[in-house]
Amino acid sequence: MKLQFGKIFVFAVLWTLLLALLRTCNNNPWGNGAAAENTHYTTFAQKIRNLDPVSANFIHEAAVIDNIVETPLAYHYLKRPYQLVPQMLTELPTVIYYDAAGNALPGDPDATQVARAEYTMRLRPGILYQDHPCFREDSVPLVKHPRTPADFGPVAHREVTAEDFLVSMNRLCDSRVGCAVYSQLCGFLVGLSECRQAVEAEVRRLDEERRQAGESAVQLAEAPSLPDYRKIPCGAVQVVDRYTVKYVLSRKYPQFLYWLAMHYFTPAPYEAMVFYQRPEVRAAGLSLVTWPVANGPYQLTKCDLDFQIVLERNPNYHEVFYPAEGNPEDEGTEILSDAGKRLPFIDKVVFNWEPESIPSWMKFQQGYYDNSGLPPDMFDKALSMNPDGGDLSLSEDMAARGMKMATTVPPYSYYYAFNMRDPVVGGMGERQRLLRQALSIALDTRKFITIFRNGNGIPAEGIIPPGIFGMAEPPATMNTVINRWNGEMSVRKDISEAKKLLAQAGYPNGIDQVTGDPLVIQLDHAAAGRPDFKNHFRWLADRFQELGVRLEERGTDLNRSRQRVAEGDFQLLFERGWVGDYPDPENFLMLFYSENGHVEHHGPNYANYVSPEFDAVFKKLETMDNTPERRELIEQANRILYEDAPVIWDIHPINMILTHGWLHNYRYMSIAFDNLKYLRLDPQERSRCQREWNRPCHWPIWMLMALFTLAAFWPRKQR
Amino acid sequence: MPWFVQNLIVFCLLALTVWLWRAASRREYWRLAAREVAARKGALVSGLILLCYLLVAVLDSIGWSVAARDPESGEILRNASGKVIYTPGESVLNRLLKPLERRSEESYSAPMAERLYAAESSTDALGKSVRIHKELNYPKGHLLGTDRIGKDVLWLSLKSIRTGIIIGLLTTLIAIPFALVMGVVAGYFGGWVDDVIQYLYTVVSSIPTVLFVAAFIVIFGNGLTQLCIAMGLASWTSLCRLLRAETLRLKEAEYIAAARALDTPSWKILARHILPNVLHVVLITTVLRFSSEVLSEAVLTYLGIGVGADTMSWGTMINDARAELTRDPVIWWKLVSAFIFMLGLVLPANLFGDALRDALDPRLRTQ
Amino acid sequence: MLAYFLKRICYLIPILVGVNLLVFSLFFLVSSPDDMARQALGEKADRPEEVQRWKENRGYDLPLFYHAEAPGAQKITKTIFFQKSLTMFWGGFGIADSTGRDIGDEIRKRVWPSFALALPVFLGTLLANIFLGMKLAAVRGSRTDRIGQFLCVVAMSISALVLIIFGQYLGAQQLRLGPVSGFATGLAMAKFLTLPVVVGIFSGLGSGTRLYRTFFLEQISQDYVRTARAKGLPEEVVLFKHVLRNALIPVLTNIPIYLLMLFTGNLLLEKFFAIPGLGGYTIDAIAALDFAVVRAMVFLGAVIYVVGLLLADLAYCIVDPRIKL
Repeated sequence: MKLQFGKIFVFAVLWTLLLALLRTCNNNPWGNGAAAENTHYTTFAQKIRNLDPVSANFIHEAAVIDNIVETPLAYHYLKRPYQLVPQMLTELPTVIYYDAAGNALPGDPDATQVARAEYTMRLRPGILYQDHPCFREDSVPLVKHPRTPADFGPVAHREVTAEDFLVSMNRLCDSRVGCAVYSQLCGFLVGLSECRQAVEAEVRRLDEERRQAGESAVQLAEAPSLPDYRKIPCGAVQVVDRYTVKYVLSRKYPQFLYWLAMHYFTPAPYEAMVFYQRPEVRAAGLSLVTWPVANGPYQLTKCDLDFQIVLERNPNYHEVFYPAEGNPEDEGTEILSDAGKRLPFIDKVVFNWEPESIPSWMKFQQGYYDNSGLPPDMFDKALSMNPDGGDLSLSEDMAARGMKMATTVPPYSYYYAFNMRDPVVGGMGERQRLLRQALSIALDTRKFITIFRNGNGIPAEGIIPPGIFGMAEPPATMNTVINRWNGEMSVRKDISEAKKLLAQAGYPNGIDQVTGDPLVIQLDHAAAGRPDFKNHFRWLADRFQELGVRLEERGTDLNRSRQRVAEGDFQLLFERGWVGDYPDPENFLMLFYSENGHVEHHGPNYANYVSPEFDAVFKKLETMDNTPERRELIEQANRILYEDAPVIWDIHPINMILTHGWLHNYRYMSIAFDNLKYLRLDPQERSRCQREWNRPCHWPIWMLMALFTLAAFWPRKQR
Repeated sequence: MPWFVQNLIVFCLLALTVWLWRAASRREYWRLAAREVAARKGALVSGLILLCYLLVAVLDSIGWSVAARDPESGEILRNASGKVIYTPGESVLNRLLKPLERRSEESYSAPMAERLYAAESSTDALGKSVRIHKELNYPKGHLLGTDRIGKDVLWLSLKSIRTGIIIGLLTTLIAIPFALVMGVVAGYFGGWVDDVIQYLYTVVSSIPTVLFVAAFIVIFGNGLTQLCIAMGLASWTSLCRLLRAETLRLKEAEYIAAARALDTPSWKILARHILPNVLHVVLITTVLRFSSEVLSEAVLTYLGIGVGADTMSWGTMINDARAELTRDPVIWWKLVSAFIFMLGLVLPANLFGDALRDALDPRLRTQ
Repeated sequence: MLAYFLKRICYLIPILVGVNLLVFSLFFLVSSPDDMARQALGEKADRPEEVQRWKENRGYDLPLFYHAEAPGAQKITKTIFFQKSLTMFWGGFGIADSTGRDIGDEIRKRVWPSFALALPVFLGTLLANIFLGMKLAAVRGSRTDRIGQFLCVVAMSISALVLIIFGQYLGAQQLRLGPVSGFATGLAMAKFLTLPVVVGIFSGLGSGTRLYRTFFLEQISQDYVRTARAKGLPEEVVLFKHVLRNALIPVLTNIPIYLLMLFTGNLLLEKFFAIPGLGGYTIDAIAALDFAVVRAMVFLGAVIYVVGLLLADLAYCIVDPRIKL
């Protein structure tokens, strides 16, 4: 046989190449050596569009923003239930109530007497903003094509003063900024609408001036006029002196303190707004929406919203220390070992865009992410039942690799809303009420939790989630309309009860007695793209089918679904979650307050539930402190809701976060998300584990290559 | 859609098929081709399998409603004015598979398993918490296991056949009129007509199909019909091009030149000579394209623009498998069932299509 | 030659105009700008005045085709069709409805990652398909051929979704040779792209090989092949020299279609492997109903197709000298 030199040469080259390639191959997405740095790697799975503390509106955006900005108050990192502590302030704000005549009311007056409330905040002196070119008027681009504010210089910083809160509030009132909570704030802060008008007038005046100066409409649209927010007075915010700010409220509203822990109430430097107005900065595509200037523990250094967001330690961050005490059970545990140390611990935080849960989970497993949520489908793999106790714990394999689990019940409530304006399921008539109750019973959420969430959730009795004052505690205050007590826990009533109610409502076996038509309920949703939607829908349809009621899906896109909800054109809404803004029952019960009706008032009362009886109780309990009387009123309100069943009470989810052994001090936060500054990393440990867990496996490649070579050199029969 | 209408459509389609079959069997060309296909064992078996699939789809598409009965007394229900109340109605297949459909469990179970796949927290006799696998309602009763909400996977797969067949067939059925008319006309008349039609199909084919379907679904809503229409409208172009080329070739044939010389009106030539002679292209393309249409449904389902939630489909089953494959132990039975059922359709369709092509289009003879 | 191509290019412009018009009518006649505004503004802010302001800011408050009140040429230019659709011809893609960012910038930024993924997938698939198709064609009718064809159909029946998940599991979790997903610029890109490229090539193998096999078979039955064989040329020379060259014509005809399929096929790859390219951008736009982006992407797809047509033309001339210009 002739020796095939050409072929031999080709394969020799192939083998060498493969040898060289495989030596460099590994599955580390961050590059070698990255693990040894004090950098925290984490993910974001939903699109972030806005990092402006005033106009950003979503939880996943807050998860980044809350670490860049700083709020006057903050939630205690360790203590649960949530507790407010001063962060930028020397102490909690003090409040003085005034009656209509302007007299100060002592103590804790009744809400009806109060005509005005003043909250006084004392700022801690010496709080500095991050270094930023906006604080130097002489800063210029340092490179030819600047992409970030860091490409401008020189930089400087200055102290946070009371005036910055006025600037921030005026900017919030500017309708062009698009703050989503503006109308909510109008409900309790004084003079916001006047302030909005003043800002608009100032903008008009400036526009007019520029037009006089010969600028065209296009130029005006390209660089909108910036009013001097420092000069516009605002009734809600009074600057008393350099370090004292007064917020003025139009009524008694103790929940206001919680607002001071939200990112809408952070200070904002006017210099930043001027800076982003500069032509060369605009040309670089920079704006406050993606490059906030703030005084938080971290500053933004990379902002590629579709790929990666990087935060780095703010060297100017004022002295904040790790809390010295936590919950009673924390005493003597590792989570208090850093007590009294200065924050933050971690130098750099990398948020990576991970839209698909599977790749994200795999990377966590390989040690390339420091923490990860637990997708429901991984429960069986990740969790095992503790044979002695009753709690779920991490599986042996994962525990052996040093992973830890944080379980929490965040203040979230899920529900399916009926449309109370619908003639069939809505309305306060006896017939409709019985129908709603029957459907509520048919939907056994405990089963749902087992099938779809692997047991991770709490069947909801009502709207108030666990951990919030006034939550229903079976058997004493359980929802007796749909549940019964089986001696151990509250379980759904038998389906025969639902059938009875349905017959009473005039739909025996799901058939309308009057018309003879089978009862069909339409489920509005915009969830067709959700991974498990079809199963979820079919499960719901099966439950209703047990009653003989047919469930039809009426799916559309998010857009039209919203329109339908806004117009009240739906019967039953697919699972909807309410995420508490602050840990107070008022924030949940208000979902049924008539003046929050979605169709009429654009409020969050999506069921469009109107009940004078409920309204009266709600008004009474709204501004109360958490006293036994309030608990009683909440119970009363709950009973009304149970009876009327304007929504099908679904579940309170249980969230599980897994962290690797090298990430310390992790505690789940579900209301504010300023937790990064408390975290501590052990990079050495991380590098070691990553190396150990990810040794490449080469032999299958060699086998394949060998087979290929063999096939190529196999002596062939000559034709 | 009421059963009456649906039955009528199915009947019309069947009648059309029978008519075409009879018309074809009168022609020597088709008879020979049929004989040649039948002579190939593989093709024959494939054809039979395809027929079985079609039968299931047809059985699932015809049905009727019956009077509702009181579950306890068994009496026929009437409304206040004495009119008999009818149930929503079910297909023949549903009636046949009733025993299978009723065998539902709580959640996942492996094929022929005796217990549920997932463990549940519960307390044992001593009051200790344990994780146990509950026994099934029908141990060893599920040949292909059950899905997340405890439905028999065999039942799901069988019900998906109709969806698959409809997507494969209806899409092409919608595309054929466009393609046939435009392709033949463009090829035969040439000139500016040809230019306009070529322009049209270049425009349509330059729009990415997925985006077109997405836009269409977003506007007209999710559903099997919309999906088929969208895919049909997006896909007539390739068939149109083939038909145009075929017509161009035929136009040069002597008998057509002769017919033209005799001043036969164009429409007559088109109907008598051209149309019957390009039909084999339509048939071959339909059969061969079948598989890709069925397969693309899975991708569209992932994008959230597939069939509605109450329609069973292999695409949905595959899409669910994304999460199921990462569970430990792996839930493989749904994916494997969908795969086998799909392969059972796609493989015979391809083999049969190849045989058809060899028989009908001797230029492409491969052996 | 140059004149011919100029002529072809002129012919392609009306096609793009047609696409533009078709897409425009699909989007604006059926879904109103109000819908888009509500979509973009989000749940907590959909008051009528905000919707109106949003429309004004983005220029959706204009009439569709004809602005009766505007003076002179503005009757035509001050319309949604002109400002949102026609401007795409000179690269003005406008502002994304959902994010408010410039689409042109985004496309320029994302086109390179997409290209870096698409090109190796395209070439790899082409080579693998030609190689395997040729091998099958060479042994046509034998048992190997039948088994090969059967495997092709089996491969076709495996959903790309499953292939991707399996590829990630095998490549990144079991063999640990590449990262599960992610992206980097520069040389590090290769590390992230290897796995998606391999998966991409695999997912196109089944249907491609079958198709190319038929192309080759068409040629093999031609007279010139018989002549070549009769001259005693070795089979491999006949196949890879004579047959390949002639079979390239139908292969080339398929390239524009193939380019389009690549464009959509990459949607999934980019999404699962978190590559910040155009495919992921499109999926997100569909999910967010960002019509401005979808419009731009449809247009871009059409441009790719049309450029493919042009390339195919060019390639014809090179491959087949009989085609006159």
